[in-house]
Amino acid sequence: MIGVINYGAGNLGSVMNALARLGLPARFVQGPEELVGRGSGRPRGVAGEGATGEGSASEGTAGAAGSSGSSGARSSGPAYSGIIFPGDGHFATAMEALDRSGYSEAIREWISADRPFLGICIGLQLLFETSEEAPPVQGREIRGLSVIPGTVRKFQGPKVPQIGWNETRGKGRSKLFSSLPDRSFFYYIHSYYVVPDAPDWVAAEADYYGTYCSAVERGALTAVQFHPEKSGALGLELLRRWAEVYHVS
Amino acid sequence: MLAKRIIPCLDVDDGRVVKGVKFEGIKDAGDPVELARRYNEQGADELTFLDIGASYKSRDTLMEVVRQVAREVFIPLCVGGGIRTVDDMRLAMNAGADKVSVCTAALRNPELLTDMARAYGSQCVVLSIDAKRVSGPGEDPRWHAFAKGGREDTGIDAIQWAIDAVRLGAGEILLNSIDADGTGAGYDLELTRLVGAAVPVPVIASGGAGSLDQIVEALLPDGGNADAALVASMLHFGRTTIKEIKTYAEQKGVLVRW
Repeated sequence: MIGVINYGAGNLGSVMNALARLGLPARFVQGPEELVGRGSGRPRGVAGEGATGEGSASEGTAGAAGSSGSSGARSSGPAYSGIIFPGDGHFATAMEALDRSGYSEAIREWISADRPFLGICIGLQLLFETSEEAPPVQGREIRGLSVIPGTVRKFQGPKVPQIGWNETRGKGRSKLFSSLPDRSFFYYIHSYYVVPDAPDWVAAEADYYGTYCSAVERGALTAVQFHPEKSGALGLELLRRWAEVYHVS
Repeated sequence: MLAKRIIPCLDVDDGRVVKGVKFEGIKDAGDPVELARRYNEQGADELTFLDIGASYKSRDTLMEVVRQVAREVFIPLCVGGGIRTVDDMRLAMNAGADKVSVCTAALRNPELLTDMARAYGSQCVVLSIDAKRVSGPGEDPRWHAFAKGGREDTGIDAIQWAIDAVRLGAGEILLNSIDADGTGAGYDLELTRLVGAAVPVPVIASGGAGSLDQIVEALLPDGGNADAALVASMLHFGRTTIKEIKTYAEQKGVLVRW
């Protein structure tokens, strides 16, 4: 089961439609607690839980071992094999919603456990530390999820946002992008782009008033600036391969 | 590099695609879901649905069409026609639209653009301008924005309206030349170029494509320099295909997506 995080940012119907089209079971994550593994089957071994059980332990064991009691009622909670973190919107507004709802911590935990994760659009930008979209307020910095060292900048040019299909090139030994055919176009709609401190985060690039990073990849973490769910056959293929490569089903 | 977009436009009236000439003289052009499917397979970069029925029944039918298309076509969908409030926008977005276009409602109440941009972001707000040249021969060119499907001259300067609308929240301009619409006489290249230079958002040229050359001219830097071209009659009546348009555009040096 794929969990799609819905924190009120934009229209997520097309992501669900795309997954349905690919025959990939998906649902909206019901709350941050679903990501941190208590009482659910798959997500376990979270730091600090001290679970001694082998990976093959049954759900019941994991639930009982971790139990600080009451979670038993939810012992059959969903076990997501991968998380998709989509959305459009404003960096500061989105962070506020994530912090308030408890998703910030849950997402960081999910990623640090190296579980399959796919960020889309602002779901890429929010993984960074800061953004020009959210300048400091009264000297206080507005922090992103800070999973990836780096920042988010605004395009400098006469036509911003970028809206449309941009040619996207794979970089390095990326699992998903290095095999991208020449002249692969994905659909983008954004005013800001990410700038990772370490260049080895960059899995794909495109050009708009200069070359920018359009996808990052490390371990089981993937995030893209474009919208695979709106990028026609190529976008669907990318989602399908993501699920295949990371054994998400 | 960003590709220039080719966008089929489906004018829908009570569940059927229709196409008029100069906003009148309507002809039936088929089933919208079927056409959407076909254009997607041909390589359309986006689809625009305009409800020209203007009844609640017609609108509900269109929403059902959008819902169906969104389940199987994975390119951006824009919905317009009869969208007057943020609630109308919400209906369209919930049905699967990625953006909505507004025309008359924004002329009557420009703040609507701001409200829509606040609700969904300006990337979801397309201002449609129905523009008609009002200057006489030998005068400096001037265009007015028209309301009510081209029937009412608002007296508002079309270029200034584009500038103001972007300031208020529009994220894209759909520029429809009434003079040319459906006649096959071509896009208004001068107007398209002027609006494009005046606003920091993409401009979609619309109205009157009658030949491949006209479509390509609308996109070329020394022509209309538009970011996208809306095409209707030429596609609906089988005079060309998206593939043919793109192949020709590419030959002329326009970057297109395959």
